[in-house]
Amino acid sequence: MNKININLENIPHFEKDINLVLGYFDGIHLGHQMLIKKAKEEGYKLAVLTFDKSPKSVINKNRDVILTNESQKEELFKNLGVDILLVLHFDLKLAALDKNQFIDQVIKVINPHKIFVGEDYSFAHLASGSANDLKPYYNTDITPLLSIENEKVSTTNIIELLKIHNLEKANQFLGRNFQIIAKVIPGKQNGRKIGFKTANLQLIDPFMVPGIGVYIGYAYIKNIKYKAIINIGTHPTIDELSQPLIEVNILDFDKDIYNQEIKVDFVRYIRDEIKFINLEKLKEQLKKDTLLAKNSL
Amino acid sequence: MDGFLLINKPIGWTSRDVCNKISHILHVKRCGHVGTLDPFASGLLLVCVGNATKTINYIDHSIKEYIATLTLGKKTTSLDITGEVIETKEIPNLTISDIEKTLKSFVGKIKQQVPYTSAMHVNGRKLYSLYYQGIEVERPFKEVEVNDISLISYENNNITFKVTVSKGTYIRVLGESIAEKLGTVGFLSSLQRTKISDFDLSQAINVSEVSEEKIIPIDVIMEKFVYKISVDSIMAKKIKDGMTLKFENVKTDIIYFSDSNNEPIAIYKRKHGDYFSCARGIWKYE
Repeated sequence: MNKININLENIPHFEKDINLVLGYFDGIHLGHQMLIKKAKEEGYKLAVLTFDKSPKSVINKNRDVILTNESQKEELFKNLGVDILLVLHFDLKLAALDKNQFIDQVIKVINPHKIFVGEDYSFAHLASGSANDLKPYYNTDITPLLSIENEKVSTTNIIELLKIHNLEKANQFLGRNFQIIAKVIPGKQNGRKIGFKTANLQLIDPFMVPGIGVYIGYAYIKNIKYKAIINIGTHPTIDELSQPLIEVNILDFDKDIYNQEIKVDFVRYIRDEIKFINLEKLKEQLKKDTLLAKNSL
Repeated sequence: MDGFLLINKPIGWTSRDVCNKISHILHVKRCGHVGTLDPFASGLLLVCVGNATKTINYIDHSIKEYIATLTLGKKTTSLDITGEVIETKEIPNLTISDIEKTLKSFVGKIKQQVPYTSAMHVNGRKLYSLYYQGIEVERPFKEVEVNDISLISYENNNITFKVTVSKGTYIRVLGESIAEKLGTVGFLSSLQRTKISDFDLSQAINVSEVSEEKIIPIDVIMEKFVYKISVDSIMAKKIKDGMTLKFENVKTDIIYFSDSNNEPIAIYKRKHGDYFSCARGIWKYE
């Protein structure tokens, strides 16, 4: 796959010899995957036009949570068979283009054979452009939104599912395990005192953090996969923290990995974060959690 | 693209099939596997990509764990489920403790007769090629070690057991010997490798999940299998020049060198006394 970072001044031009898929594609969930696979089927070279930043985060100036960062998206696009990934720099100037300007300055320059979008695709200033506005210029294929058991497969819905601990459904919608990428940072080392070492995580991008509680899943360190218990919480038993922390206990692993990158897959929610009456009770529970991770993953 | 992959090999594939598929997915020429898993077996296979293929001969000495099912009463040509039945024999009445005792009797160093399907060289030719040409030769013996063996279940004449072994142990032949000791014959109806050294089958990925991003760096695997020394740039230069080096207090015969950034440089072998010489350069050409 060829990845090209572009802006309004250097948009590449094609001779109607590529199929173009449009969208921001946060999460690259099953709906996105279906759209890309459909565009791939036609035999033309497949290009995806996306943005480097979420339009919402640029316009509203707040940091939006994300389901996938740039590197994850790149890997997923590549594995879906995308040949050319066009990453358009999104800034207020681009956001100010009205729909005809966007078509003239971006779409017509690229000049694809055919365009593929999802039913809810919108573009240009105040999202005034819709898929139908592209139809007069290019053969445009509009894919209806994917629903599973009457629920819409959408990034917003997946974020809501993660908030309420429904990892099973969120992962089903994603077509893989929900994953965050972080750096391991020194923590308070309270875990060591009770013989339960954890890695404290600092997210490298504003990933969506699932609701407070305890999860089982996998940790990847230098691409080696380990079973893991993930705690998202405030440490009510030891000394309560103001900000929720993400901590990972990696099974059968005993190395210091400060400042290293770690990827964490969330597979299942196992329990609430409980305030235990003493450390012994907490230790007992951690033993049970470990056993569960060992046997059920 | 250099490094390793922990793969869960499906039943029916040869270990080479796995490598061929991976070289196709990753567009790499060099792809090999450490230790072979027969087509009828499944489980953990360590696959090397690019420069990592140079390390194969130096990391295949590790402890491996298998879960095997031995079907009693029938013997096959290949000693596994793919062969033709060549002998049937009555199965004596066996208790769980009979079987457990018999299994435990194989712990330690044992002599194994190499199976006909082995790639071991006899009179300068591979044993299996002689066998397929109908040339009869005596199957040679080889000393191997069983570290641990335990019974998982015994149902409908099938003994399922877990076994931990050192390099080169033929589980099929072990199955044959267990059946003999129990007063009957048998063949392996299933075999799954569950561990190689510290690595567990649960850490493996399927062939279909392989991508460039999943490759494990050479250094990460090497330091698990081989005694590692990290060196500065002056030493690194000497190693790349192929200089013989003296190391006191190194207990192993093989040393793996990496630079200060954990980039692999070379594998050295003990020459004599405390002197080690280069066996294989594995650094990346700039």
